[in-house]
Amino acid sequence: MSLTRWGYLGLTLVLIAAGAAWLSFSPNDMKGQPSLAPAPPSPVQSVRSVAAPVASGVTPQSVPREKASLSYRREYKASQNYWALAHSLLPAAKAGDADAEFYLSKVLERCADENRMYFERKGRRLSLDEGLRYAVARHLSIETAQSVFDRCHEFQTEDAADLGSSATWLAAATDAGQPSAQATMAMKILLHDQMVNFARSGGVPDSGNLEAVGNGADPRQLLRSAVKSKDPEILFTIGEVQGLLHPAAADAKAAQLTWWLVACQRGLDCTVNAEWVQNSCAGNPACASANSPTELVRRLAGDQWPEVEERAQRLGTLLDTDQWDALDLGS
Amino acid sequence: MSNNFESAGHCTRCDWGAAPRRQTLKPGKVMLSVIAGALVASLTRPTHALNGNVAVLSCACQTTSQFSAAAIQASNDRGWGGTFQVVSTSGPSSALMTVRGRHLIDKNGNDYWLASGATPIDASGTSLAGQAESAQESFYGSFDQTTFGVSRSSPTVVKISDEYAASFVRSTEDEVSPGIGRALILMGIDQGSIPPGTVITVRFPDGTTAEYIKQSNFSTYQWIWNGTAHDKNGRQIYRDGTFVTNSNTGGAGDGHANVPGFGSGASWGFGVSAAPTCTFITTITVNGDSTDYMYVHPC
Repeated sequence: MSLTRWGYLGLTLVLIAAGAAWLSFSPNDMKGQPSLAPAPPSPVQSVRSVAAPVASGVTPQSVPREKASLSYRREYKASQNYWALAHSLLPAAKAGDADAEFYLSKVLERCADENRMYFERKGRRLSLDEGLRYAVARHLSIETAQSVFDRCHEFQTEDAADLGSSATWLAAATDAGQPSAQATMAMKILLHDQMVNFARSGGVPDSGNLEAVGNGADPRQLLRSAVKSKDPEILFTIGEVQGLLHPAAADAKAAQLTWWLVACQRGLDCTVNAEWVQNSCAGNPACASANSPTELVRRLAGDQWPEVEERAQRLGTLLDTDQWDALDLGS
Repeated sequence: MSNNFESAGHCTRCDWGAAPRRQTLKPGKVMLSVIAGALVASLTRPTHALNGNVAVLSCACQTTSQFSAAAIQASNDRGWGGTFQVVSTSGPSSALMTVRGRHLIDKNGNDYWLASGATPIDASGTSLAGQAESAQESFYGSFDQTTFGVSRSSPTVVKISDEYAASFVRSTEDEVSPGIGRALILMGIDQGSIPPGTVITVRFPDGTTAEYIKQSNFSTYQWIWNGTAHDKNGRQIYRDGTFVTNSNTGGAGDGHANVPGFGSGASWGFGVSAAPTCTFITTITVNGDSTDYMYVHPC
């Protein structure tokens, strides 16, 4: 075979590979693109950002964004050392990978909050022994306190300035149209707005001191964009904000549980080991006995269960048929 | 921001709660009265928008226009303008409306009040006009919870153990948030079932009380303080225990509203009275028993 033939064959293979890559990447990327994002990245940008080097090597090169996002999520959930995880995410985040930006923001926020909860008191840092004793005194799980120490203590002892701030990374991921970031940011904005309202409705004179969140973004638009991913974690978050979206509604609990049920049915971890279950159970043994999504939501719903179940069916249909305007997320 | 007591000059002498005035005035007296009233108004000009009387009423309202219509109606019925706290009977929502209008003289020489409009305001008297309807309704939901100290959909008052904090004063969220979780467990309430944004009132061993707002279930801190707290005598305080200055030193209160709770599984009732001592008194009744009394923000 002549060199020219090899050249044609090579060119043909390259074209076929490029076409296949376009066919496999484009639908996913387009599906994952929020239509209301201020400046959604193009599919090419999205793929390039996913392919950015990650020190841990967990994220494979050139995989669709949704898969990359799931990979980051798995890594976040499995990690026993958030200090190492944060540093492994940093290069990709700096390279503009929206998923890395989001999970880096989560790691930074979680460690800041958990260190404050378990290993600080009245502004003083606590040793491991002091922290464990303080947890016991407050009826908090000693295992959780130990786990927080293992995962996060280096954020207290080392200089974390190079990692940046949680708020900055979350804003970057939100701007890039990362759905989980959009939902998280929407919730933060709604809670912030409500805090401002509380300060104003309580007549507290220094209510203007609350730090602004979201840089003027519309939380309802962010939710309308994020929900299109149909990601169960995002469906859960949308459930959480029901009372904030409709503060004058009398059925916020049923609305919340409706979204939660759909989220649990579609794969959200709703078992005893789930982060949100552990947080919300606050050591309640009865709460922790729930081991299936239906059981947990059913118990939380109490006598509203039939209503929640019926509404969840309707919500599932709306999601499956992409009837975004019927989801009552505001305009 | 001016209120109608200023614009209506002589109405600074009005007695809140009194029937609308129907007195006959001669033209000369009217002029004299207006001049004298204007003089009194200028001397007693409030430094604060809410520095005047606040009347409490209820209506089946949800939107700004509905709250506005109820406040205007009440204003015309009473014969004066000013600030009206309108509590909804159809949802957990309350609005503060400032009603403007003017005193007119009818063909028989009788003075009467005609309200011409109402503007939603916050508790500091700042106008909410210009905000989107959704933002205004969000405020009404927050104001309702601040007024009653709880959500009318799931009213919850917890007593925190001194294992966590003996007083609200100088307490921290790493003490109080787990303490609330523990208290809820002991009450048989799963905090996961409480929607984020819901307010509860926390009562501390020394009698101080504070309002806490539910956060995301993914949050380490499930509860954070919403900015409103009171000492054991009902005076509003900051976290360091110093008093929040009552910006409304010149007004009395008028009116009372008994409104329902919402949700299932319990019979809840709520009352709010505007007292002449520049405070509101809130009553919460659960299953027929009055379980709490709270003094909330200045009138």
